[in-house]
Amino acid sequence: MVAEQRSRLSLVRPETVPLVDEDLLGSRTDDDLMLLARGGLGEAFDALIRRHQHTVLSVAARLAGRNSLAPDLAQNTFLAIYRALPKYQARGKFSAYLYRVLLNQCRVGYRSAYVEHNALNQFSLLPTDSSEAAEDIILARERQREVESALGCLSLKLRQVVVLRYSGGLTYDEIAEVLSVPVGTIKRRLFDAMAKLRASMEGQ
Amino acid sequence: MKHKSRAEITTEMLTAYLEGEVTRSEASKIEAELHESPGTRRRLTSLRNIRDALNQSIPEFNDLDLVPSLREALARPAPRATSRRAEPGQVARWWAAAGVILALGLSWVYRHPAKLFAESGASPGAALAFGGEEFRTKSANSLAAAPSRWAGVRVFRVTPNGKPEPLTGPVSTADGFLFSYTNLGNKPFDYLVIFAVDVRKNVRWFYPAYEQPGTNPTSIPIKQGLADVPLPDLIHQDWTPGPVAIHALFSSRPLHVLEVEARIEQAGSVQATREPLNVSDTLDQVTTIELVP
Repeated sequence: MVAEQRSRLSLVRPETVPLVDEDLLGSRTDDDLMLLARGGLGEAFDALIRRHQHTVLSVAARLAGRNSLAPDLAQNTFLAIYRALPKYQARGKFSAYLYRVLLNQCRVGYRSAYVEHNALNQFSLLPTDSSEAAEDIILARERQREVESALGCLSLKLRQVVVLRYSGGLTYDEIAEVLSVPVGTIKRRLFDAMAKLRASMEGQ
Repeated sequence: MKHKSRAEITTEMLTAYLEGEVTRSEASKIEAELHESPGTRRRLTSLRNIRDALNQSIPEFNDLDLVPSLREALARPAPRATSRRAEPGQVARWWAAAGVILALGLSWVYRHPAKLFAESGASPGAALAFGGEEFRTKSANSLAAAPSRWAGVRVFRVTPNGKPEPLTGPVSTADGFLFSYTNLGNKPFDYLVIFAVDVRKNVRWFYPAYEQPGTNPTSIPIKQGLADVPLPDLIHQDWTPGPVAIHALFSSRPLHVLEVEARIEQAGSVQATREPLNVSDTLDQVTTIELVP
């Protein structure tokens, strides 16, 4: 077999070539995105952030008890994960890892008075469009406010479990790994937390 | 009896029911109670509402995108630890305490080596175990299991006046080709050859360049631990219309062009050349395209 004649032209500089297909990144697993990011593909980390940011923000706000703290906690979480990229082990447990880092950031955040100022300075939260403030949005917000207010009555241990389970969407096994306690304990805490939340909301 | 049954259905049990964490007999009992008791139904609805409210993301964050500010933060140098230096005497005390702990630990291991290995489940000659968990294992197997997940090329076509785009349908014989490679995993490769086999079993070489018969160039070296590394050349070939199989052959040793062509010859039929080549310790990714005039 003989190689055919062909022309070989060095015409295109690498940096001008769009090599990243965002749709393809969207179909990658969290572990794949972490490894691609570790390999130098910044867009993979962007895709990972966009996949998780809204859940992380909600969990952070509910754990911290204040929405204004959430952007800074979430940003610090993703920064910590980015800086630990070289040490990341792909074990199919990214969610557990992500929320363990977030809990650590929350612990730091509880002690840091400046985080709120940073959050407000760095992020411009868009104001609500009042013209579109439909009744159901208001009702949903009111219900959320009640639940979030009741969350404040829970101990940190119970709050962590119920928020990770319902706002973070973690499984019992993942929560057990995040908090380093047995699955049975997680279940007991969840059931206890829900009973207390209900009692608090019913004013019992 | 009914009263006793109601008293047993606690809110904790209703949450367990909501979570699907009750046995079949417990579920039957709860469902019977739900059927009978409006109060229990109300409690269940209330728990469901709490769960649903917590499931909702907070609307305030719906339009927030962390990526721009995160990129900005990453562009700044990483924060350094604040300079709370320990006193020299304090450092000496830490080292002394660490030395005592280390000495105690070593003396215990010296006296009870068999117990240590028995508890860890390892033999004295095996890898060291920490807290009953082998230190080296966890990600290695998953990465080694599927090298095709961690190495591969992406092929782009370039129309005569157009931009590079991923291959999605038929490709014109006038189009040029660009490639990028990904070489990750715990055992990344060292070398790569890229070539195409057409419907008449003619071999067209992309990498390495093979333009002069009588020469026998080898694989190009590639970088490890990187993703989507663009290869620099836009390459045109004098194609014959029809199906073409593009092979990207990753290896740990350099392969010669004639060695690869011999393997293609051994493969037999044209159909067989569209399957990965049987070369040991390599990964052959095959992309089949249709060339049209």
